[in-house]
Amino acid sequence: MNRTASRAFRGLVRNAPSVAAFAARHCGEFRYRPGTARHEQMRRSFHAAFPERPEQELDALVRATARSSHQYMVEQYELDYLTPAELPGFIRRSATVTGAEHLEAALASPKPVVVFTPHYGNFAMACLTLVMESAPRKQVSIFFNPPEKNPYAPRMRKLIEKLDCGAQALHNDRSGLLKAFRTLHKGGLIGMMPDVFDYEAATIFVPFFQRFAFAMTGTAFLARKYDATLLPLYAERTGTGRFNIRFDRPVDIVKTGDMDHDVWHTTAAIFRTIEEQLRCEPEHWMYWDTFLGRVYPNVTVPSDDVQWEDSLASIARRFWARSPLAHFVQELDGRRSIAAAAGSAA
Amino acid sequence: MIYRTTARLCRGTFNGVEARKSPLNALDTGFLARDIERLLGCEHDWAYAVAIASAWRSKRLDALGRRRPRNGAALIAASTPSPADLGLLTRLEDGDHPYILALPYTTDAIALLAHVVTQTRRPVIIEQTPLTHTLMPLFQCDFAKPDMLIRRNRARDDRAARAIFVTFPDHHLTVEGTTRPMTFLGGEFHFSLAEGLLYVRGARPLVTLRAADGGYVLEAYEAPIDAAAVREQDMRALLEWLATRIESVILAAPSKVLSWRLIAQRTSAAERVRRVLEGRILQALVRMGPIAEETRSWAMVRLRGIEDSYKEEEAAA
Repeated sequence: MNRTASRAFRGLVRNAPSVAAFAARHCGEFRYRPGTARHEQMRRSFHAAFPERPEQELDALVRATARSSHQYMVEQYELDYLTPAELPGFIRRSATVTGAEHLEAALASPKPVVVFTPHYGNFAMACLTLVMESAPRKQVSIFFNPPEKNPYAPRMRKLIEKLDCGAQALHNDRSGLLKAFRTLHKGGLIGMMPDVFDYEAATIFVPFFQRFAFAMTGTAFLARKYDATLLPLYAERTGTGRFNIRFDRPVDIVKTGDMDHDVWHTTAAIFRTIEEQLRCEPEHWMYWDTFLGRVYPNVTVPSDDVQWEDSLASIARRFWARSPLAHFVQELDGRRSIAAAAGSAA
Repeated sequence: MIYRTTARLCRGTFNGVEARKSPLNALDTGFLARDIERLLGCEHDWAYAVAIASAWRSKRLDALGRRRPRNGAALIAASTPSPADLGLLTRLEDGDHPYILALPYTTDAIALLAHVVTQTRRPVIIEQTPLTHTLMPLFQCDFAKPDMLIRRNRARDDRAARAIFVTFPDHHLTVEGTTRPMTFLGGEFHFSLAEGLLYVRGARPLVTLRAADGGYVLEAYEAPIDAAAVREQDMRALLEWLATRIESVILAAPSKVLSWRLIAQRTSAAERVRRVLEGRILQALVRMGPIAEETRSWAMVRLRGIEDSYKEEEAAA
């Protein structure tokens, strides 16, 4: 039964993609209908990200996000079914590039380029457009998690191979990193998606929707190490099968003598630009249902001194009393109170 | 009809699972399989099959809980034979002090618990963990966090005086200070001291399952410990005894384990990552904080030092 339905759906995608997209949007709405666990989970995420918005608006956002993510599924199938001869023409027909001057300037410069895009709108189309525009002028590599972490990665690799313009798909592992170093060293371009993370010791926390998001440092590290141009890229859906591929102006890379400091502040800047985009049109981001799993639990980004004290206290409460971090918090409090006393005496 | 569906869910949870497709999405199944592969050191395909079976059992147990059967324990006991002979527990039934039943979170152990709950006249107090909310609608027992179990054991109120304290040492809510790293599944795992603390304060013996001859047997730990002068080695001996038995049950039927993700989180490697991330969140706060530049520089250097010490610890491990 499932196999028949799946075959019928694939046939529909091939022969009548707009009908398939229509069906997928409604399927998404049905699956995320109010009262379901999926709806509740996503609504909780939106409530955490947009506490100021009314409940009805959050419900509408859940509906729109469900429609968008299901439509993306059809769009991805559509890309998968295209032959290598059809793919470039399809991309040119469906995608309009805006902010091309930013990409043009980056490609014209001998400096390496790091382009980042969140999983937003049709990000596959964004990657393919980037490859088509850049591959004739720079060596291009696109980063993905290895297939064991991301089952989607092999499909994207196939699409890049179909374009056959010399671009390579790299996996986020040791050999992939070495290839990325080589690409950037030669002044090439790499594409990355910084809105994924792994629960590992290389993860840092940066402000994102008033929370501290788990963030990988790779994008900022590579951009800082090779003094690359750091370009944001977004694929906005403007209609069924129509996309606006937008390059924004480059993000400034923080450069001081301290690499850790620079990487943290640059990663924070990357997440700030992503947040700005998501605040405008949140429904196109794919990861809203797991938003609360992507941020450190129960700690908000402080906006004033009092909130900062609260956040510090709330984190400190989780430490075992004899852990080095608990000692650190005590020492920090001691130093701050001495500094405050000295300040008031002066 | 309702009874038939509930009974079918019971069979699906506690008996064999034949499924090629996971009820979880591909990513979650992949993570689960990766955890199992790391913990058992097995082939990826086998770990994947174990992950699928374990995910189905968890899903069916959740579905069973959601149906809120009137007497879930009796229903499970009726549909599933006890995985071990309950003779030891029958002998303990008439004792006048509480005892501990420490079980791994597997479907066999839950079936055993159902038989215990239906047959005993003693109050059963089950440890509250991140997974036991599924059991709450099925077992009409008290649920309490480890600190509350210890407090109730000390207070010996009416219900706790002859209670059976059921704990799940393979996953728990205990913080770092009240755990001890023990060798488990070929690596290091943080075991809670809750069982040890209950034991020294009079909840004896400590009973657990051990895999033997294709089935399970119940075994009791009854070594004397002086409550007035508890030594670290006494606690370690108790935890080591417990760890080897829990490990044998997990290795005997890995697809029946429902707590793989949490087991992976309590390994020493995962604990080290957690500690590094706790340091990182402090780093983020310090970077944004209203503190003097001098203090900020000192704090960053200090935090990096702590992180380096964790890394050295990891390298040594």
